[in-house]
Amino acid sequence: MTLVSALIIPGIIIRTKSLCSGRKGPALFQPLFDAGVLLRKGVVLSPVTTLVFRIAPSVSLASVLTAVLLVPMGRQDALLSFSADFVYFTYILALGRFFMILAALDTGSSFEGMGANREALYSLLVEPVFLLLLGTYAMFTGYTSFSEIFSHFYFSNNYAFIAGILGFYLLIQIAMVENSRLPVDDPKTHLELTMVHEVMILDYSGPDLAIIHFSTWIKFALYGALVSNSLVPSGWPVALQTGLFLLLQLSFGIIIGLLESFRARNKMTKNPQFILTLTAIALLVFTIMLLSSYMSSK
Amino acid sequence: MEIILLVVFAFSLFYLSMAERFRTYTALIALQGLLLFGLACFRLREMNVANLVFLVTETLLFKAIAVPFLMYRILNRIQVNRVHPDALPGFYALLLTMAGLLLSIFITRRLDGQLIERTFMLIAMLALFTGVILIITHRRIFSHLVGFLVIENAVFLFSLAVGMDAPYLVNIGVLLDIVVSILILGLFMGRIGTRYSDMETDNLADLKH
Amino acid sequence: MLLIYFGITILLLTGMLLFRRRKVITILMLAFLLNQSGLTAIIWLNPGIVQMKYFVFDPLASLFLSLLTVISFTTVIHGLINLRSDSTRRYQYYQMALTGLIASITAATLANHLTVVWIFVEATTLCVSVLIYHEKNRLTLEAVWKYIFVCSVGIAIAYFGILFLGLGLRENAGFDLTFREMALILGDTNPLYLKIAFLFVLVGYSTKIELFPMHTAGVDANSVAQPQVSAFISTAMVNLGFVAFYRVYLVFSQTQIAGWMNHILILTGILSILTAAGYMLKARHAKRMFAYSTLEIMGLMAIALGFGPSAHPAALMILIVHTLIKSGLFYQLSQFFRTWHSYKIKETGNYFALNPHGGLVLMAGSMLILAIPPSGLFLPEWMVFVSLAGAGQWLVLCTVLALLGFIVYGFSTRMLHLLFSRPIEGRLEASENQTNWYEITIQWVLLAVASLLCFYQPPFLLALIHAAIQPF
Repeated sequence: MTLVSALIIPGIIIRTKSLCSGRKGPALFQPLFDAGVLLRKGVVLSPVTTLVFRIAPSVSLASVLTAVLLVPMGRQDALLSFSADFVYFTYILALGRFFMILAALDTGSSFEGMGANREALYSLLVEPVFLLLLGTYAMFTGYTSFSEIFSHFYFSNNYAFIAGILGFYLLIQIAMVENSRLPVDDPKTHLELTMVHEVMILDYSGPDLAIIHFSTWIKFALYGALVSNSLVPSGWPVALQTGLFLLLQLSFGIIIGLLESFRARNKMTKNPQFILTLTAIALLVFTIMLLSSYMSSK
Repeated sequence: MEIILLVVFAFSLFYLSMAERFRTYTALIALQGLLLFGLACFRLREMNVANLVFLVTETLLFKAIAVPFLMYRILNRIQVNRVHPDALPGFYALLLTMAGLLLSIFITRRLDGQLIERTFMLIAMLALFTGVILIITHRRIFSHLVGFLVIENAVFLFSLAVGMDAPYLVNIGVLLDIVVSILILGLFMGRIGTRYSDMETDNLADLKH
Repeated sequence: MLLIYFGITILLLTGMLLFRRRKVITILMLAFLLNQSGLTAIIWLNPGIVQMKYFVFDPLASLFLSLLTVISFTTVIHGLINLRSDSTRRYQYYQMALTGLIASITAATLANHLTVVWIFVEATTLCVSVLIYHEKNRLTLEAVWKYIFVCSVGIAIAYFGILFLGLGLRENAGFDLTFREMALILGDTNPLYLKIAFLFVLVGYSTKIELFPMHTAGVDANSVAQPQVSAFISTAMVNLGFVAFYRVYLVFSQTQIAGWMNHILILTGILSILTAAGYMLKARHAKRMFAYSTLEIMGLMAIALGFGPSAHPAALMILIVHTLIKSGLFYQLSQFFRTWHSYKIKETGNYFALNPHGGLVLMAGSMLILAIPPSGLFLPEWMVFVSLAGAGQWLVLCTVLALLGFIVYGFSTRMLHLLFSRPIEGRLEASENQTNWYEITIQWVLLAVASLLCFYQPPFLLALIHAAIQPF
């Protein structure tokens, strides 16, 4: 399910953004065609790069695919689940990103080093948000695995409801930050001083680039799946859940497109502050959940 | 319902600790005034009507309208619009405020009382810490003033937690608000604004040793 | 009876507002002083009765109100001499503010209810700010702004503490913040409420008592106010802060947090003395130097308080003697100012040659304030040190003694320079000054009583002190 939606989400995003800015925009499946073109091309490698550069895209894709295995859909259990698997989720994605950063440094280009530096900082700042949020959910539901958390997550009282809404907002923001979208990083800018993620993949070509694009889309759909999961009620029949899931993924794409069209990119120096705000909100969610747990324990 | 207002209030505190433009501060103070008005309405429902009307009018009129209006007028008169460039960056101020939140959680853990009151207490303590952090880490007088207004809001919020059992405590908190707001804002910012037109506290450092 | 006092005060204030003639205002002020002394006499004659539900004539109040009356008299007399050259309008505002201040301090000292004390302490902030802003220039504006700001923050924090206390008491049936009622029902309250309330109240009232951490208000106020106003702020206001704080302390001293409170008080005292020592070594302004000395003495008083009920008489004694000496010193400073027209230590000096009588007063006063015997401060401070040694608190004792050494050094060098050496950056011209015998006599009387208290403490005073420190 996640993989299917992965194929279509980037197209939706680009189409939405174009429509919002008044153009007609490329076809919905255009990114897939572009990736196909890339796969047929040859690879150009720089002589200074080493093995790390060659294997980084594959590692990234592998890590993302493993992460996909962990995320459930609706009430179904994920293909792979064990206790505290959201920590594993975080770190397997971090592994992929780590290799990408290494590869960026490997090229010996200062731009890529700059981008790698920023990318490392932003993912550093956003990691506590994610862990805090999932930890809060775990504290609330009493379980530590993705599947179980999401199947037991329901809004029992006022506090949990608000925490749920805030958590939903936070997940969307985390998705935007982790996938290097606005306002943290503009995927369309290629100005050297302001690229973050794009600059890391500047040196890739051909199938490597295609693999990187695939992993980006899948990561996007992954977060979309998480967001949808927090909204899909667990009591519905499977087919309905699947349909709702797809629908939510599509609307996730549209929402991201809308959000991106109407927002400007942050000033570079403001980015850490922006991401820290997310941590502050996550702390607030934690506080609310803590208070609600006092209530239920009285 | 109150919990939503309290959460938005906590947001405004976080935003306040990292904002850098004075107009943002003014807008946030107005927002906080409105939120307190809503909270007062909800919380003090069972009070006698006259007292309740007095309180909510004061909150709405003073905190949400008069004080921000005065602040806008002061901003229009002086040319300063941002915090001092050497003040603590928003990143660290936000970190301090988050530490304040953790400290508040720690302090209110062992208190007893109904949950809603403990939430009030928690947010009130967070507001107190935010106000103190604003005063300590900023250099311009306007920021100090905003920090003081946040402390006043914290006191009001806290008095709402106690509110029903001792209405006169809330009244006295309101009295503090009115008196000190008039005093500080009305008289002094007028005079200081005309004499010290760039509002650096460095200029207010002639009294030394 | 208290109602009569308030009524007369309001009448006199209205009179001062309406009549803009100097003589009338002066007469009204003297009438107010008579009113004040009348009230003090009534309080002495009727101990223990409750007035207007929220005020009570207890021994603590009678002790400090007597001091207040004495200081009011001396301040007004010195004010009459100093304000000769001011415009009528300024004079009017000054006297009205002073009247309001004395009345507010009286009300706060007599109050029995936590919130009523708080309201009147806030009223004193307003009155003092008018008094400070007497000459309208940049320095006074800055001082008033800082004073109002710091005091307002302090008041808000103190109110936070009161709210905490109210919250803690809520579970008990009677929700009354009268001191007597609170003392009865505080036993079984959650100690965390009490601790936080105490901490906030201490921090909030430290603006008035001139203790760490919010002592800056008093220091800044002292540096720009007129000398007799500074005398009043350093003595009567500090006493007010003490009374307001002490009542809360007495109420809490019967609960389980008493030991913790004492530790906090000792810590505050040490920090105050540390701050005073740091400032004193850099002091360049005579009045600020005296303000730092107030800070130091209040630190010692806090340590005495923190030592337990056996040392409380020493604390009260320190306050009484400090009132007498500090006011004498500040009053003499007004004559100093008339000679040199500046308070900066480097630009002035040689006072002894210019004005021998005044110089003698300053010298005697400085010796007394440094607790050199025969100072009345010597005995209580000695008692504090002996108690510290007896309790085995060697670290505290050595720290305090070392810091006091710095303070004595700083103060003495500056004082000796002021009295005996020529100005360092001599640009000012000293003007010849006639000695004003009224002033000098008052100052000598104050200093003499302070020094007398070293040798002989009248039994009625000791009895009053012991009655004042009784918990409810």
